[in-house]
Amino acid sequence: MTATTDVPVAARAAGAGGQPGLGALVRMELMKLRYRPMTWVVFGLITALLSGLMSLGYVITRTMERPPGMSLDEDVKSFLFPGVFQEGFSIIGGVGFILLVVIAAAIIGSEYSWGTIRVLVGSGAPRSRLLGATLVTVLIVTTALTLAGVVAFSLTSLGIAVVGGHPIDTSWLDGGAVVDLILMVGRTIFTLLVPALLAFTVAILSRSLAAGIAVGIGVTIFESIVVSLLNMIGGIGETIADLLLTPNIQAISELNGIGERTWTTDGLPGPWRAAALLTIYMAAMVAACFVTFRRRDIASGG
Amino acid sequence: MIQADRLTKRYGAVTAVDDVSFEVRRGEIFGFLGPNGSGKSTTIGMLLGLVAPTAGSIGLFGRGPDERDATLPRVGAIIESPAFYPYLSGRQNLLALAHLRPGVSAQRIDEVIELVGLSGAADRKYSTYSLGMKQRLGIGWTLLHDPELLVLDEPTNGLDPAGMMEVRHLILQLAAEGKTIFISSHLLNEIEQVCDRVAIVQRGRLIAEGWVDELVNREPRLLVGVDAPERARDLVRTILPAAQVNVDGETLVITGAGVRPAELNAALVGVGIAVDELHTVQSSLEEAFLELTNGDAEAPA
Repeated sequence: MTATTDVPVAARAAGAGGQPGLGALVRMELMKLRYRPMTWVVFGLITALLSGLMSLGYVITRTMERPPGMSLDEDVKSFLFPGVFQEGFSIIGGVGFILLVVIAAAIIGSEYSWGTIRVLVGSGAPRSRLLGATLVTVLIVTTALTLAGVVAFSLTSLGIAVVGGHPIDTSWLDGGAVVDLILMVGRTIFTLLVPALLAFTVAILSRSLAAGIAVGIGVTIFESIVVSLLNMIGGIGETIADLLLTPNIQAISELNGIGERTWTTDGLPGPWRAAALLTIYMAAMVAACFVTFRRRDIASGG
Repeated sequence: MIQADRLTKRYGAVTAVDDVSFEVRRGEIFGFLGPNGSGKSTTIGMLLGLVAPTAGSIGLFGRGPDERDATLPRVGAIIESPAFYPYLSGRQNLLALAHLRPGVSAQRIDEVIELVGLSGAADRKYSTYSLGMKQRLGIGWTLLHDPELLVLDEPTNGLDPAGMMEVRHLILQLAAEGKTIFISSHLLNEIEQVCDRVAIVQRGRLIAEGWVDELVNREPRLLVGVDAPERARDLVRTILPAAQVNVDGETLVITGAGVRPAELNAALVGVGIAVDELHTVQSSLEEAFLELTNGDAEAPA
C-alpha cells in the first residue's frame, strides 16, 4: 500500500455523493453480466442448440423414407420461412427457459453466495431500486435471449435453404407478418419471464442460487406430469390444471407462427385468460421479492 | 458522527447485541473491540442498514435511521470479509461498483488502486487475489467516493506485518485528512496503535467505552525485584494498605493508586531488603480488556 504516495487519499471525486439512479444500477448489472462467462455460455448454448437442432432435424427429415405422395418440400416446411417461426420460437421456449432460469437465478442468487449483497445494500443505494434494477436486467436478458434465438434460427433457416437448394420464400413478408413477428417475440418474452421470475423469486426467498435454479426448472418438469394426471382425472382436476403455469404458458406460446400452424390450442386455457393469470402470478412474485428484499436482514455473523 | 442508542438485536432466543450505546465523534479513530461472536459485525450491520434493530437505534451524522438513504452515501464501509465479483478483475470490480457512487470517475478508480498498492494486480481476476490483496481492494472500495466516515471491519485481517503497518499508516493519514474512522477488530494491538477511543463489547454487551490512554493507564503496575519477597510483601501491605500486592518469584507485583517508587524503595532498603529492580509497567489494551472482562472472554488476539 502506498500511503506515502503523492496521491491524496481524499482526492475529490468530482460530484461524488448522493444515490445512484435506476439507470446507473441497470448499467452496473449489465456490466457484471457482460463480463460473466456464464452469460456467454448461455447465449452460445441457445444459438448452438437452435442451429444444431434445426440442422439435425432437417438432415433427418431429408434422409428419411417418406410415404408415396408426400414430398420433401412439404416435410421441410418447418425449417424454412415462414414455417420456421413456429418451430424456432418453440425451441426458444423449450430450451431457452432452462437457460434463462439459470441466468435469472444467478443475477440475484450469486450476490448472496459471494457476499456482494452486503456491498450493494451497505452502499446506501435504496433496496427497492437495487431490486428494480435486477428485475429490469432480467427483462433485458430475456429479450436479448429471445432475439438471439430469432437471429440464430433465421440464419440457420437461410443456411438450410441455400445448402439444401430450397427456394427462399419472401411472399409471406408484408406488414401483417411484421406485426405477427413482433407479437411472437412479445409472447415468447412474456412466457419466458414466468419461469425466470419464479427462479429469481425463489433465489431471493431462499438466498440461494441453487434453489432458484432447481425450483425454476423443477416446477416446469413437475407440472408437466401433474397436468397429465389432473387431466386424466377430469372435472376438478382439469380446473386445477388450468391454474398451473405450464398449460397457460403453452396456451400463449402455441399462438406463435405465420401462415399455416400445425398445432392447435385445443384443451388449453384461452390465451387472454392465460395471459391474465400469468400476469397475476408474475405480479405476485415481484411483490414477494420487493416485500422480502426491502425488509429482510442481510445476515452477518460476529 | 455515529450515535448508537440502546441498540439491541435478537435472533429468536439469542441476543446478539444487547442495549449497546456509544458515540463516535467527528475526526476520531474509534475502535470497536470484541472477540469473535461478540456482536461487532451485527452492530455494523445495523449501522449500515443491513440489519434492523430489535430495539434502540443507530444514527449517522446526527440523523436518524429513517434517513439512512441520505446518510449512507457519505459512508465507505467494508463489513466482514471483503466480497467482490470473482470473475472480474480488481479494476473491473471497482468500475462496476462505481455505478453505486455517482460522480466517481475512472481516474479516481486509478488513484485508489495506486493508493492501496494494487496497481500491479489491478487487472488480475479477483478470484486469484490473496486475502491481503482482497483487503486492499476492500479498502479501495471504501475510499472510492471520498466519504466522510469510514467503517472498516477487521481491515488488517489476512495482511502480513508489513501490510498491517501500511494499513495503519493509511488509517492515520486518512484521519489526518479529517476522516472519521470506525474500526472493528479483535486485534487489540492494532487498535491500540491507531485508535483514539474504543468501545469494548462482550457477548453483545458494551462493557467499556473510553480513551485508549485511559484504558491502558488505568492500572499501572510496579514491579519490584527483591531478595526477601515475603517480608517485602508484608511491609508493602503495611505502608500501602490500598494496594494489591502479589509475589511472582522474587518479584513483587504492586497495583493500585498512590504507589511512589522512590518512597517504596527507601522503605524497603530501610528495613534491610535489597532491591534489585524497580520499574513501572503500563497496562496494554489486551490486559485492560482481560481485566474488564474478568478474563472471562474468549480473548481477542
